[in-house]
Amino acid sequence: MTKNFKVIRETRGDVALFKLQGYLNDLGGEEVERLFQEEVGRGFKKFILDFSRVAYINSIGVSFLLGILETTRDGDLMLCFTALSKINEELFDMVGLKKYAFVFPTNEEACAYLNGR
Amino acid sequence: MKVPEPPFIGRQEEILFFQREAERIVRGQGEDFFYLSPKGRGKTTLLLKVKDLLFWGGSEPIPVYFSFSRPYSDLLDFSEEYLVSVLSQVLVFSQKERLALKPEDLTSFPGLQREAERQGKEVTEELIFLHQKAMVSRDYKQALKNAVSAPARLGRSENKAVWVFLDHVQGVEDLFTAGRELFPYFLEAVGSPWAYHLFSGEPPGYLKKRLAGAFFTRPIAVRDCPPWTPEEAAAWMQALEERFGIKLARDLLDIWLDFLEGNPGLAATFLNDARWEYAELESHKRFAEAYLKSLIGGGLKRWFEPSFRGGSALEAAQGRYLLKGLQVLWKKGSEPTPVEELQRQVGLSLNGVQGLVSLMERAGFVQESFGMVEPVASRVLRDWVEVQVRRWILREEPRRIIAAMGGRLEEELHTYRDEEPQKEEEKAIRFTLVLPNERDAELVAVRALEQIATYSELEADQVEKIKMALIEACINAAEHSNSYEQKIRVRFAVTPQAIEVAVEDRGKAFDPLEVQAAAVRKDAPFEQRRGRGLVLIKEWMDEVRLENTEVGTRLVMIKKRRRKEPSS
Repeated sequence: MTKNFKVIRETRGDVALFKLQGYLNDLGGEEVERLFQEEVGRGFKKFILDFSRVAYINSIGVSFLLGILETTRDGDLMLCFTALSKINEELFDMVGLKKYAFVFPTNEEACAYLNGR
Repeated sequence: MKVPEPPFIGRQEEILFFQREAERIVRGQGEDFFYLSPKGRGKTTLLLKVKDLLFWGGSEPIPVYFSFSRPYSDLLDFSEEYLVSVLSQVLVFSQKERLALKPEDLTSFPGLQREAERQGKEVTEELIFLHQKAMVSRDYKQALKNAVSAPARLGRSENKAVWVFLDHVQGVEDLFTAGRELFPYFLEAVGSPWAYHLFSGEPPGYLKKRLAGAFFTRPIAVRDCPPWTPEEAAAWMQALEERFGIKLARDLLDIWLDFLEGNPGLAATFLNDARWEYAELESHKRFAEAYLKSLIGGGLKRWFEPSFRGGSALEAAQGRYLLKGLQVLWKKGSEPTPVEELQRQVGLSLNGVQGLVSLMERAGFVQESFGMVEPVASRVLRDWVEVQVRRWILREEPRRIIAAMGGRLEEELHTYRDEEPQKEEEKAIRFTLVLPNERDAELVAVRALEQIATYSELEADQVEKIKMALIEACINAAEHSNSYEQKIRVRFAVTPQAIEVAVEDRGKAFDPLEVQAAAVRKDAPFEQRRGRGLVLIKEWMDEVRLENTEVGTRLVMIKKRRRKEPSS
């Protein structure tokens, strides 16, 4: 685990919420992927990744996010991204992440969307 | 080939200091002190000049110059040379108006004896007698006491203070088998109102710690010999140009001098080598070539070699450990390294590495304090280590070293030129950052960029894009270059029109197209997915070019500027 990255795990009903903090690089990406797989193993099907406190994401971090997204598509899971900064939203757009995941300004809006499904 | 004596240039401030000090000595208010600087700064030339000025300038103090510059067989041998030197200089001073008539040979005791008799100098005769008596009984303690106290005794008898310049005092440890025994005698001599001592030597850190600190139990002042001003250095280089008969590009001279650390000794040594091979140094390329040749097998090589106990010692284990140690320290830049870490990386016992640190400190390569070792900021030493490591450990041919390093040096010199004052419209604010090839080091570059952006009033969204590109560029450099020096250089240049960020590494060059292709291959190994970074960089920046230089790779990224909107 890198000193510059942290994940806080919470649940909102049947939604697993990961609050990401810091610099999402290869190690950070690995950590998110590991926690995601754990929650999938525990039966969660709805996920929110909260980026409100993510300063930077590098291309390796993006690769991990793409990997997670791929898993959700293959496994009938749902994934939302929330609170993206302008630059991170642009990044997600550029690498195609926005095409397949739902993006919301807040966790509450994402929860409302997921609970309505 | 011996480097010709350089001409005396400038140094007005220092000469004024010595003149004021001489006046204080005459008033009985002088003091003994250490006069220290790194090697090659011109202390010896300055001291000889001051001695000359004092000799012809007045009747007091009597100047005496002595250099610890040859090996002595024992302390009796030293006593004899020191005494002869002091006696002869005082005798010559006392009859300086009649120097043209001087018939006696004052380099031996019979000549000194006759001259002392002729001048009626009883104390001189007595000092010679006491010395000869000590020699007969092989009583080195008596001989030393006699010799070291001679200036004060002569001063008292002449009723004029003697000012003794003891040059190259670091030699005390190198030239004697029992050198340290000497210091208690000098300690006794220090503080006399009839003889003042100036102990000149190098390197300053070591002497302050080992000699000024340890041997002199009473406080003794330390004065640092300052470097030359750029004007003095340039004037002197031009004087050398004439003396050496080599033509130098005038507009590049100050850059080269700066490159040689403004050190007169290093510059003279370099030019002395260059003149044999080149009639003209007209470009950075030629300078870099000549500089490397001097480092590989010329004067600059010999400049550092004595610290390795003779050139051939480079082949021996100690030399290799020293090079390895220095290499480890340079890799960390100016950041101090704990002795234990150095020990681990060099692979010596703790005692062994402590001996190594002591050797490096004595050579002026590093400074050790509370178990932390820090390399001195010396560009030439760094290059020398790099050349020696390549040559002696990697067994590289000189022409290959020149091919590999010449480009880098030329490039560095060109960077200097770029940093020269420019016309208002093309003025660029430049910053250079050297990052270790460590995890998350790119965040340091980002932090630096934030600061530069604040200073340069760049728009926030532009800054964010440059940051993203910078992160990718740094991790690309770290990942693909396999840099031998494990460093990444980030250069920022801010002009009114654009911000340019160049990320450089000195490793193997890589083909960006190859990397990009790997990124889009589905079966690409995971680590190659990093190639996506280049695609992103092109999106974030307005202009991107990747250059394979002779020494590695440089990614140049340009973002055209939009000024921050003024807040209403």
